[in-house]
Amino acid sequence: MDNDVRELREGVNLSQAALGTALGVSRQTINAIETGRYDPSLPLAFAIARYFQGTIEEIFHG
Amino acid sequence: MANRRELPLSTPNIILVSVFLATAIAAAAFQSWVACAFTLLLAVGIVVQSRLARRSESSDRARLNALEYRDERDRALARSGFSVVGGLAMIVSVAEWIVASAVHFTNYDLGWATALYYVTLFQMLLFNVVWGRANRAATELN
Repeated sequence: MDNDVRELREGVNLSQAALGTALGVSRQTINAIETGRYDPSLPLAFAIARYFQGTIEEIFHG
Repeated sequence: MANRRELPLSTPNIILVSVFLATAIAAAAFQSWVACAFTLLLAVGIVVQSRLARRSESSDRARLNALEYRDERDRALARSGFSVVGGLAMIVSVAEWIVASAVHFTNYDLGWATALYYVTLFQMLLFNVVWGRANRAATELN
């Protein structure tokens, strides 16, 4: 699934590790989401959307 | 999502370390010092491996091998790994039972062959029951 997590993260000058810590997941999980290798669960997708003050539809697109 | 990490080790590791420590104490009580030292070493090894896996820069594989899952992706990866182990265990159990059957039915007078036959039969049936229960739980949850 395509997503804008990398752009949003870089927009706020955050490392993958820092975002992972903020969301309670590993740096590798953030990397896997950004590269499309892992589709997050609905709760994690909500947490990501909430973190970037957006909606799931704005950040994740099929 | 995130794993609750108040405990110094994950629950499976706490159980493993407790079992090894209890075994070490039992071995010491029987003055079996080699067994005591070996099981103590295993317990320490698990603690060290777990603590290393909990460091923020640890790799996926380090966390999976140490049973220290940090998030939902770690747990999903662990499920894939364990499903391979489970599938292989079922195949091996059938192979063991076939071999044990051949030995048992050609050597009725061997007590250990009979015991081996029933142990492998029980193991194979147990795996199938667990598999069935796991499938049922999975379909009810999803």
